[in-house]
Amino acid sequence: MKQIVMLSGKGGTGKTSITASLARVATEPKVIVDADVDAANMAILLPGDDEQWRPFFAGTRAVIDYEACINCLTCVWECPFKAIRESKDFRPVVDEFDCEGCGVCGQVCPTNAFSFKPHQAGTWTIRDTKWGPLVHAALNVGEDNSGKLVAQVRQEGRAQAAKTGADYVLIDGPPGIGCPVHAALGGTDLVIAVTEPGVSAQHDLNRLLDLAGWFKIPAAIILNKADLDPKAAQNLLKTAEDKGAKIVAKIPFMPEVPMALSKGIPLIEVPGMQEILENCWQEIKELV
Amino acid sequence: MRIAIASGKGGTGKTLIATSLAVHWAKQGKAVTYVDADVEEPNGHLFLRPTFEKTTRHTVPVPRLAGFCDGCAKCQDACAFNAIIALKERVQVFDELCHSCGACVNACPHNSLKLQPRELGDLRHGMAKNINFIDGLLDVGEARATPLIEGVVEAADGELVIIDSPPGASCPAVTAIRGADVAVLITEPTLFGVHDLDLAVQVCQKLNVPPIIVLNRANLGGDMMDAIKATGAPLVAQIDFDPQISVATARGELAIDVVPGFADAIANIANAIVASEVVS
Repeated sequence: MKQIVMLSGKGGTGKTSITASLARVATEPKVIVDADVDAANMAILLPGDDEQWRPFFAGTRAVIDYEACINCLTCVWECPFKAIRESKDFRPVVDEFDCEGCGVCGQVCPTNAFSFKPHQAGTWTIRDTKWGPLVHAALNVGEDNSGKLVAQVRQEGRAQAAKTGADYVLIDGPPGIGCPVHAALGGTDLVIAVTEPGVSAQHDLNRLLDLAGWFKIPAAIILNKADLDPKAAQNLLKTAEDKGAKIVAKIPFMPEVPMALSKGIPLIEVPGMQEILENCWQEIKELV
Repeated sequence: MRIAIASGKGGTGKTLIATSLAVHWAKQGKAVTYVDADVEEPNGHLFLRPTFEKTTRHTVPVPRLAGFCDGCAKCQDACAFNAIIALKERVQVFDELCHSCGACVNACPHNSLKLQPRELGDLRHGMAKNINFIDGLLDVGEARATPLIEGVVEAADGELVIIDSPPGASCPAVTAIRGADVAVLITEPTLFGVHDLDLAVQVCQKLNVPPIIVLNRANLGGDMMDAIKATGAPLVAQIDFDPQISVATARGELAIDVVPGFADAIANIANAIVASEVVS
């Protein structure tokens, strides 16, 4: 089983629509994982029936037993996240949004008024699609546990692949190069960087390829909107060559693409795209 | 006034709008601070081209053993994040899991754990013509972006502060938007754009920051007006797709300086932002 992760550094370069399209051209059995749990969009492009959504628990939140609390407000002063505040009636109140469940309030409370309840940070499920199982999730808005939920959907993706005998796990990753990206790319066989011509995408691609190198994972590049600016595209190809990343596809800019995406239709249904993506998938298979 | 430029979905034009607003207000003689809070992939400097005057290494405190250890493991038991384990006569700290809360320091019976600074990345100050410029650059391989975002946002001060925020709807976006007077949410007319816009509006509601919406590439996609309306936040401006803007941006040029008509579009957004403060 080979795990391939689609990343980009810069957001909005086309990761999700290209991943969905590759999932549709690849005839081999596979599992698709939407690891952009912050703003998950893969399900929009891959219709099917979801199993029941399962809760995702991560960490805890502080709960105050007001029978035991003597309103000394030590917790208010000591909370490292300023998540316990004094209410209008002079009692400590936990802000669940800011609380990280660290337990310092429990340590400093003189009357042991604190307990810690498990915190639900999101939900996840498996969707049965025509192109294979899709593991996808929704992190609750404003959460800080995206890396852990990414790890959860990836683990479920591997379990699904083992169960269904899939050859490939296609992972649609988040933008950036921080925590959720580390969780999305750790232990994969190939990073595909989806990029576009331009100084921003090139800057971000550089950092992403360095990160892939840091994790010792080989990288390849899909150049999207390749004809938008020939000079910028040239610079980008130079970056790719310097970093030893192979270009596996060049996709032209077509106004039909955003139009299709406004209706939930992936790239592949836009005339001319099928062949480009089929070739791209062949190249990717050769690399892994 | 503190203005967060955010989006949910990446690549909708946050940096384009944020840098253009900075140039617009600076031309009017206003004291503007542009803050690039997308520390994982900051791009504002590619367009505003500041001269950096001061770069500091931003740090976050993490526990280190600085005294006697008998392996009692009270630190390990106290840590809610599995970031510290006790070995025989020393401890192992997993820095990237640590939330810097200090519970382990409190728990050590020998008072042997001390919080020490750990470097996350660069916090850079500079000037771009008359724009005060601040950004953060997370070290490649570093997972913890949020403390650096906090540092960058806290470093900004002034009459008009523009915070170019990271994409998404989790803690990095929250950290950048928190405390702003208004959030300008940039979206595009695709299903992804409006799905993620809805998440961004929810973030703003949680943080009590009033959101206003700018629809970018308005003529490139479908009719998303009903979905935009359903978020409950007002749509204040639309910008049509113009290949000249894309090409200028690809080359690192400021579209506001080189693309005819774009300065007017930005002036409209600037007016809408100022008006939003009057309303709220």
